[in-house]
Amino acid sequence: MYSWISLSSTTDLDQLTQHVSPEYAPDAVAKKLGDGLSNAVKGVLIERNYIDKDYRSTYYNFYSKKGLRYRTDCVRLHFFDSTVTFDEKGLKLDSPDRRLTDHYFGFMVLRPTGVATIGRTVLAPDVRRGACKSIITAEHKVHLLGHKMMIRGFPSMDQHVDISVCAHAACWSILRHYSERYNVYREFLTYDITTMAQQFNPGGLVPSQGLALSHAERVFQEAGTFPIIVARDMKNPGDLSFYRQLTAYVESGFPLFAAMHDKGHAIAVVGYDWRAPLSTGVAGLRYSWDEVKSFAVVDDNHLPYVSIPVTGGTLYNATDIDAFIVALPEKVFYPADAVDRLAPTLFRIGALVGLPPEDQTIIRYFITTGSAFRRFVRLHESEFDPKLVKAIMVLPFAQFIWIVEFSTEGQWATNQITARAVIDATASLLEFNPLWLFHGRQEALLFSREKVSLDPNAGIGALHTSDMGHAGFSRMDQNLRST
Amino acid sequence: MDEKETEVFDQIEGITSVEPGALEDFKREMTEQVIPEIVRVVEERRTLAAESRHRKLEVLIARKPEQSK
Repeated sequence: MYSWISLSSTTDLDQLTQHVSPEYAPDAVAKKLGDGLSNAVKGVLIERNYIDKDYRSTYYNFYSKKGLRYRTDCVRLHFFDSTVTFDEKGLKLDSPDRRLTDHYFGFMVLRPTGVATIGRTVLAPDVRRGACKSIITAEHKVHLLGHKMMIRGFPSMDQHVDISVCAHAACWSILRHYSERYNVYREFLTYDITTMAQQFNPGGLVPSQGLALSHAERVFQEAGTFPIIVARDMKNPGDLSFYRQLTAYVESGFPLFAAMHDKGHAIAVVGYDWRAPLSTGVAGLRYSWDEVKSFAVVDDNHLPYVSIPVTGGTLYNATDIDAFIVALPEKVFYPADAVDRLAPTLFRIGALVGLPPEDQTIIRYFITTGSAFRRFVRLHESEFDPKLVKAIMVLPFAQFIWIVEFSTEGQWATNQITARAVIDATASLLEFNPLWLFHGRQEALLFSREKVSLDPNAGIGALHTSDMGHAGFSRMDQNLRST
Repeated sequence: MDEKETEVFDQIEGITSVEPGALEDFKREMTEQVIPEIVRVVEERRTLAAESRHRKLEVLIARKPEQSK
């Protein structure tokens, strides 16, 4: 039931064909793994007769109804580093420090479907060759031979081709991430996703006839999220606000369902890489989107964390994305479009908090929670005047806030910022002042937001803070995992 | 400031009031330009979303899993 393959390099993965039956397409799987995994993977444990809930959901509702007989069980591959050993007789996994989780790189389920056999997979981004540095991840529990291990990654799978297509796979990946990351969302199996896309059970092969964006939107609504579709203005090639928003949501830790209608393809965008800091010497306001080198995507035709460049590239690039869905929690009412327009207007009161000149600034904005922001400030409290720390602790933030960070080119290169604005994510579009806080190094503006007032000067306070002797505050980068 | 605002701001040492005119330019720009533009942009984006909502990702059925290179 269990076998072990030791790898001197990933080319040794060819041995999979000797251990795994042909209906799991081990040769194609070995090639994909060999091409995509780093040489840090030194051992593969093959677990046969594995009952996979996602495959079973499609088996019960689809494969079992076919004339061709399909197996009910799957094979699961587990990836380890060089310190892990396996005693095949005693079925015992071991590592010198007895901390298997620390030496575990994740798993891949193989389905007995002959084609597109890669099922539920969670791989550590660290072992994915060429993966971006910042990836949205969650911890996934794995039970194996009496061990409970945790793996941090983003779920992925091949589309089934017949019962589900790439858009289903992208929805599944995002929703499985949600159910593992946030306990308010339940788990949805592969077959659930195919039925959630329609008003009624379409039955048979209807799901494989493709999806429109509205179907994917419906899946996310059914799952209890509040999806927003953001589409690019195709008549306006200079619609950079679309990409700025895409970057902002990914930086907020929300994986995006991204559509490329010209390519007829859908993917999940799950991370990014900054380009090397540039000293451009060119004056002009820039945004974090301008500093993106590539995005990490989960594409059901490839292993997870494919790195796609902003432009160029062989597969496709970020500019091929023409619409995306972000599955938001309920209480985000102030959209990224509004933040995108509001952020540069803050330069009108920039002098009050010491913003750099507008044409020498890089703006970055994203959503986080009030508690995550307070945690970040507590972690970096030596950077803040204690008066400001206290103010941040007592301001009654809503659950979700937009953060806008302002940095100079030099600060960007060292992950620092000059100033930060905190915007109420529950604000309405017509509010002239949706701010909670706007602070620089020596001045801060505080907004109480505790009652509706028509007096524009009510509930606003200023705080003079001590210079803490640093060149800038730390950038808040904690929404994604660094690989 | 009413009683509740005083409660929050009273907990913050060193807080001072802001000159009434300090945010005047910001308020004017927000009211006269930014908010109307935000409303317009959000409305336009909703129209774009509505248009894209029913564009089918139909090529997907014919798309076969690619072999990695």
